[in-house]
Amino acid sequence: MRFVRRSSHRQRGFTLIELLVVIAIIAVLIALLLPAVQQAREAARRSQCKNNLKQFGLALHNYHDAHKAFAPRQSGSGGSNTPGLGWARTAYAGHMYLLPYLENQGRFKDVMGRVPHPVPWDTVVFVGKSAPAVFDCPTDSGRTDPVAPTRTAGLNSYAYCAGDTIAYSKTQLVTGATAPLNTRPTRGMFGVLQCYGLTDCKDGSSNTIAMAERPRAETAPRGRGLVVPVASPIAPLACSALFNRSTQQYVINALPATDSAPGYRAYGGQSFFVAFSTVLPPNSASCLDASDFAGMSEHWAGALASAGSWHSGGIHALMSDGATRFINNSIDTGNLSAALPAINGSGRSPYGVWGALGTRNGREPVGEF
Amino acid sequence: MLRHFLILTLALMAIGCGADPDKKNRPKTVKVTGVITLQKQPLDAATIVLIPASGSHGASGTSAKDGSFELKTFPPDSGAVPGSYKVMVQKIQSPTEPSKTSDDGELVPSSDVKWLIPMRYGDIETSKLTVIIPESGLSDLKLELVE
Repeated sequence: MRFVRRSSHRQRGFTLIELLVVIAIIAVLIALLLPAVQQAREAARRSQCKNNLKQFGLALHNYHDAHKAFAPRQSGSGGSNTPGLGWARTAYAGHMYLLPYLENQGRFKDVMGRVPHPVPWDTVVFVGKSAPAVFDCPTDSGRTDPVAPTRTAGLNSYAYCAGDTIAYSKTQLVTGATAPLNTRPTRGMFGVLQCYGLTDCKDGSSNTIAMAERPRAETAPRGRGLVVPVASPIAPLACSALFNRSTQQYVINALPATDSAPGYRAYGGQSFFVAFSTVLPPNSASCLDASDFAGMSEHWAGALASAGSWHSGGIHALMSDGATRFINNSIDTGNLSAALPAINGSGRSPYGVWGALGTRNGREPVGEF
Repeated sequence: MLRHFLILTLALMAIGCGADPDKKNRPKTVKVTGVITLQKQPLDAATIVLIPASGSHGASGTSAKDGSFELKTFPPDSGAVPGSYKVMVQKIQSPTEPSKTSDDGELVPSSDVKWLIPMRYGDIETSKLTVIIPESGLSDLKLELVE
């Protein structure tokens, strides 16, 4: 064997400077690429999120085929560990009734087979257990309740439209009474102990929102996704002033103080958990009627909740015809200084295109959105 | 030359690709700031709401520690539409005391919502406060509440 040295004098390598320059260039390239990768991941999560909403749309329509109406937002058969607590009989969210149509017959049968039917905060059946993945928008990164970590009872990101006014949850005004339950109608497609169908949708199913996203809270006590009390009757502007839309934080301490936060009780049907109103634009404040507390848990108070998401720019909404649309945060909300319409009132919505999309029977002409 | 080009590019990037179509139809707003006091003491975390006497664009704001506030008609953008308004002010405290457990396992707060200023200011009919915002805006709007 013979080694031939072609360059006779010294071996040519890289100088330290050259090496550093190359490393710097690679670092710059990676820095340019990383945000793009993150954006691609968010885009994927976002389309998954939209797909979940579409599944809800199909489930609602299959439910409609079977029952001639959409599922109620809040309703229930048993639903109480304490017989006689009438209000607790109305605790289940529509999510429960859509389970068989979301390929979760097993879960549905398990719950319905128990006597009495477990409450949504039941520590054996729901607390600490996960809900179906279709309830969970992957962009919502919260995994445990920031207020009451040990009461996390199924993650949820989707809410039902209550029209352009406040959505109530109590069906009895006195706790523990055995009096007959009252329905809570809405100007939207979903109420309490009340099922609306496509025949109730006089504005046209492609012009009426059925469901949309609501963001899960990640931080307490001021993080977005939580809810603040406002004097009754709620003035939409009083509600919106309590939320800083630039920082996406409340300016006062929000609720709940101790119990489950919105998004962490998948089968809780109260408006606090699973309703939104088309009054304040997407990603703004959510408020509770301060006169509706009366010694019960915060989440039984009537809520004027905004739709919202952790996507940038807006939210996904499901129209009543099953289409999913992206709604911009700056959608026209008309006259926010107008008083909230009565929950069973008729007539046009004062809240612009957003309000018109929320009502099922407002007879508003809806343009582009 | 290159420098100008760079600045131009950066400026274009900052502006983005176009104005928001929903913002085009909004009326012109002017800057309105002021101070709110209760019994001559600065009032913090109060919600100030302006309901227009006519027209359809109210405004609202919340006060900071020193009682100062800024009104917004289209949050997060600053400013209110000139005109005359009725004003209401609210300040409510959430039930924050430790909760007790009801007999079926729900947590129930041991207190209800509390008003921290006289309730009459919270209603547009009883507050008796009015404001006129001129075309030039306002920088010294004073709201003086009394017990």
